[in-house]
Amino acid sequence: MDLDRSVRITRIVDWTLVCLFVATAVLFIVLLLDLPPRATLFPWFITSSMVIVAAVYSIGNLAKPERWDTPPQNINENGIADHEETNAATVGASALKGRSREIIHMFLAIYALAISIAMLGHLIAVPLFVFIYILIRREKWWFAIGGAVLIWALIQIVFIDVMNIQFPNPYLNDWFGI
Amino acid sequence: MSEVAFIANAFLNGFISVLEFSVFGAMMVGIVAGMIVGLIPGLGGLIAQILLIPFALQMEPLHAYVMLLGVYAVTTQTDSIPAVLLGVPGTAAALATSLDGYPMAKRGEAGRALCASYYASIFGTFVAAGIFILFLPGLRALVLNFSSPEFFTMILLGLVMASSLSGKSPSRGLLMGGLGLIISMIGQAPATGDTRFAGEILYLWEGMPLIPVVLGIFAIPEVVDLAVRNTTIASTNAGEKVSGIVTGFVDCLQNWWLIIKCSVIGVVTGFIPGLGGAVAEWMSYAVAVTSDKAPDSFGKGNVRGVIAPETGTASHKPGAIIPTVAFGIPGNNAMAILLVVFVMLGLRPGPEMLDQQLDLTFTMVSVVIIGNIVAALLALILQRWLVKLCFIRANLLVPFILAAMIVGASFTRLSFGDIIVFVLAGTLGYVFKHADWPRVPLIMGLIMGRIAEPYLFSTVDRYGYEWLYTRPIVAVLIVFIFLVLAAPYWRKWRRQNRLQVHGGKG
Repeated sequence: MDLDRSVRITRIVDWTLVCLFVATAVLFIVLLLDLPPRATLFPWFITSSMVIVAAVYSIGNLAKPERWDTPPQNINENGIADHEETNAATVGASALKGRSREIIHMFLAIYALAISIAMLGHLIAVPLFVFIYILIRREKWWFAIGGAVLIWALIQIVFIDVMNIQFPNPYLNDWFGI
Repeated sequence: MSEVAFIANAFLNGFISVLEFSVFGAMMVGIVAGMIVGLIPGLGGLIAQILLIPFALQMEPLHAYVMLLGVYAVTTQTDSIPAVLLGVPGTAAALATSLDGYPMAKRGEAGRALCASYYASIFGTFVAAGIFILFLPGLRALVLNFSSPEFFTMILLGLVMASSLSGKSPSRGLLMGGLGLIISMIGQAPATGDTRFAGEILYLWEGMPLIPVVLGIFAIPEVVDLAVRNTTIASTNAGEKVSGIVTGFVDCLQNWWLIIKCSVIGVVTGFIPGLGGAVAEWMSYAVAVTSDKAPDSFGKGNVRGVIAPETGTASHKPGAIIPTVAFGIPGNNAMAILLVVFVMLGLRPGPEMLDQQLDLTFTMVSVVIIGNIVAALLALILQRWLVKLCFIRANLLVPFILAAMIVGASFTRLSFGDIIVFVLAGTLGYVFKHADWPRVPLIMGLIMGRIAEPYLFSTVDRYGYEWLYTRPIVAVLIVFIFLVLAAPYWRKWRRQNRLQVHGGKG
């Protein structure tokens, strides 16, 4: 059967996720063996049975890919397919096709933000991210500066001064003894 | 009589407490945030709620509940503005509205469509609240007879329903629910204090934090997609003068029976976990089409095509409060997030919410009612200006939303672990979203695993394993669980039969 590329990718992702779930369940079951029975009642009773049943259920579906590839449509009393349910997430989803590079860039930006928060702290890293992001996206420089100042003020004045939130000390501060 | 007096008293107390200055102020913050964020296509009410979580966690519990419920109440009010004026439905709840609302706008009846949608929301919420009050005595009697075995089985039923009904594949839903349950067990076992699945990672000894997981799973995928699309949503002229306050009202009055039917659909779909507002919306739309003398007029600007979905989505909201507070089973995504915050702020779902804490439950219902009215009034006055928000570019929104989310995620334990969990959950959430694996059962498993485990423990401690066959309510609930699990197969069998019949005819 000559499958469309997107169908093949979807199927690989499905198989990967199913294997990941089953592996997680098995790992957790192994870890349960060292614990006293009172701590393992719920995991044994619910999770293992539920995950195993669900895994069997899924493997049954995956074994018949012709059903798997065709999402079921609700047929109303007149034999007509109902409107497919669409969630907010899918609005404009077609616009994302063929833009995997941009998606990867976006995730790299998020990872970079997370790492820079760990290194520099919220107060520096978050405004810096806002500033750089807006500039990279070729918006006006004064908007980038304004946005960074706004976020800095929000963190410093609202969260730190007013709400007394103690953000964790960044690693660079720890390393240099600041 | 004392039961009626008790409920009436609780309703009055709940309603009056919303009108207190500080509580009303907190609600208004939620309403304004919900209206603004709900209006921007691609964001929606979920993001508005998520953005306010960091603030909510620092507030008095009542103020926090009211603020987040204010957001919850109004996001489907303003999303009809771009749906009608621009033909761009920003959320699922506005999709059906745009089918008839936009053609009405094109022939110069935008005001009529918008006003009808606002009034439909208000009426739908009122009818839903009425249904809630009407069935409350029965619900109270049922819930107050529940003990730990019934609650445990009820939670199991809720999880199975959410897993089976969310998304297109029940098996995927069940797997996600199972994964959520597994994650919920990381940390110390409630019965013994033994550390499970956390290894030497101290951060995990307290369990997996809910807020970073919820933020990551739901919000990062939306923000990434918004950033990648980076579109202003429309180039249509949005400056049309909007009128039709009276016409919209008359339309709703003339379609009172449709409003009642759609309200019932909304309440029922709200009560069933896993059926989101979109299901209520499309079922209501289908009712409007099938009950109309001229079904061909739908999609071409029939006002009933605006009234029905708006009523369905509005009435879905009070309906979803019932299982959330009574059983700890959230009816939809937004309620799942609200439940996370409620639990973190000390609210314990269960029979107390329909007994000692009934005032608080009615406060929540009142916020949804009052929020709808206030939002409708604000939308009527401000919609010409509000619609301009639809034209803000994603480039200017994304960094602020991302910054607010990552700061909010780190509030839970004020540790870098929060940020790691947030980012990992976001990456997984993106894969789940685009591979069409439903995310709601995962979050529900995560929340409900923590509620269910103590119930199971006390059940087995008190009753051994006899509770599985000696308690009638448990037996009924177990039958329901099997019915829910069998339902997809039954539907598949019916569908194949129908297709064969229609194929044979063709």
